Amino acid sequence: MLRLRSTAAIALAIACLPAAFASCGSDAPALLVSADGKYRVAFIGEGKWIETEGRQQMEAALARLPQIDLVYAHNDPMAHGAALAARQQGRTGIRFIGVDGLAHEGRRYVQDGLLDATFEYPTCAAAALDLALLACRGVATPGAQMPAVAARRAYLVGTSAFSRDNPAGEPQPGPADIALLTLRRQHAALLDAGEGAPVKIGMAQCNDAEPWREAMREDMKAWAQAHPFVQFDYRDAANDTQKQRDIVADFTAQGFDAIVVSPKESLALAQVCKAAIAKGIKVIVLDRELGSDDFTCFVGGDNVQIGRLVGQRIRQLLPQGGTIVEIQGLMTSSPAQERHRGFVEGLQLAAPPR
Amino acid sequence: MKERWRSPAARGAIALLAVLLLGAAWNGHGAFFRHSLHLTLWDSVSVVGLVAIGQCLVILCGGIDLSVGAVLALCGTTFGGLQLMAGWHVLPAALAALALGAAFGAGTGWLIARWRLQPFLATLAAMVIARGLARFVPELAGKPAGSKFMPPGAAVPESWQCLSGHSLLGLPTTGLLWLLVAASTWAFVGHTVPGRHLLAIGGNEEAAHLSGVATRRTKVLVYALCALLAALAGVCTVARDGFGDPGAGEQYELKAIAAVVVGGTSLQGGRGGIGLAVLGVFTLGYIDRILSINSVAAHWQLVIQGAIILAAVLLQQRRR
Repeated sequence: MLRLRSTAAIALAIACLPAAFASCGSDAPALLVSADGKYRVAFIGEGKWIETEGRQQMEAALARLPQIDLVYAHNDPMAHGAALAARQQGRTGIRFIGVDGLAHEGRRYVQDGLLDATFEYPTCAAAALDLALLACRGVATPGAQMPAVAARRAYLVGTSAFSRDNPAGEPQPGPADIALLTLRRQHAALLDAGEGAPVKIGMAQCNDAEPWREAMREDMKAWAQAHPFVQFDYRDAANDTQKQRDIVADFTAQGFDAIVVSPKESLALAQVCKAAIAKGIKVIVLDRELGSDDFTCFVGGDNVQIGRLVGQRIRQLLPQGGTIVEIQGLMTSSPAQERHRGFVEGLQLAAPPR
Repeated sequence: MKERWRSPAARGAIALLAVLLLGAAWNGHGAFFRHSLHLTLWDSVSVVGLVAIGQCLVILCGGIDLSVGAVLALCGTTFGGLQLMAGWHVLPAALAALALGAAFGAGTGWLIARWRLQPFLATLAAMVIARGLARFVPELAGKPAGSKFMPPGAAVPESWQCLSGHSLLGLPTTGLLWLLVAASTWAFVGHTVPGRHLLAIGGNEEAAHLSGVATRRTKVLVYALCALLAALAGVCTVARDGFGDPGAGEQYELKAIAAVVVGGTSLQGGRGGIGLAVLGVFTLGYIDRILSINSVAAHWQLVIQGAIILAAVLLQQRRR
């Protein structure tokens, strides 16, 4: 009796399998075509920021498409995985573009000839700590003389492009870079010589167990060494929302002058940041936005701009047009959405008429 | 007298006391002596605390539940969706989430009791299924799978602020709720027939069965209760975070198991108690906080926490 029942269950499961595959197939991503019709995005896969997943997506794309001219991955590890997948299958002539441009990662891949270009996604570590220090010293950031920044209290820092022709990088500054440079020049005495009372700055990191945030941590440590008059405390929440909330609350209780926070979840940190601001503590939001208005200023890279520059670079690399594969980061995260949006804008892509 | 020092409760209390002394000595420039630190700690550990109480019930019964973190996410996401997208009132939404949790747990318990599946494997499968369902829930509301339920305009509902805020005498509401649940669960285990039965099953299932204990029914009840408490923790998480997140509660099963074990409840089942689990939750919470206020690097925090769990298990071994 029991055997009969389990056999029936297995038979049912096998019968359901084709249905499951069919439903996967119907979910195939819509193709995008540029306004001039030259550039076709023929495959879009979600690599979720992870190298092996990017590689798997590329394997699927290689299996489906006989001709691929260029791969745009939302970060360098996925681009690297895709390049390795193509190399393993002996497919040549494909160009690869990544994003992040870390010295020991994307830039090295470009030097090694695996990637054609990568765009730096700045950690903004030094900028955030400079802004925190200036805010503690009573300098208004952003000041009224910077309308581009002041409207949203956001410093959107530009990028640098690293490519085969230009492995040293060509900076692509944004308006915030000029504003930051001006601030640094004006207040060099405060920033470099450490005039005034001692300052305590705390950093509440969401999770530094990934390459880009490791780089941010090292940038911050370097900044702290260059500024011995600042008592700098770096704490990592290890990807735990509650822990990050506790860290901000502890900084507040311990009487820090400024808190730099890179929120894991934007909404979840609003309450503790509000409490910190209420105690007169400066709150600098780094890279990911906060779900409320209770902060001093925001500083971070400009993902939409990077996406646009990727589009421009594709026009340079493939003047005749071509078939493009996009390997996306985790599409529930805002950087992936923005890197996709900028790319769509940069190449003027749209879904083709049916 | 010597016997009393060796009792599990005394050991749990001594461990907590030792950790508090460590905090007093290594106080992060006086931060450890501020009462706000202890209040926020109580509030902060209460969600894991709720999960740990359910986990403790299962462990006392000789089982283990790996699915609690995922059930937390499933029920929390459901609660958030019902209130934000379906426009339900807070109470029915919370009750529906709790009922879903209890039903899910009862299903897992039924698999373990009726089909004699190993708890580790059955709840491992339940964990994966619940995590998948949690990611599917947003699709029911017409959102992409795996996305979060955010309140429109970041305006967190008032009921959520109440649940995550501070109530009478400035004490944290979730913290009070946790201790209330702990007290009633303690009474359930110590002073009711099913509570006695679950201890008997954890001690010796065969003997309990032969003595006329309804082992199957009790097991289903225990797993349902555990998932119910995880669901309650999920509702509290949503209220606290301000959104429903299918990725919530990641690794909470491990934190809860660690808290139960550090408290002094035996993984073999039958020996231990709810009060010990509460002690364990505070012990681990304080260790975490002391390391944090002294800016110990995250990787060393992991190593130190692991070492402390090992030490607790070794202490248990010596007792037997």
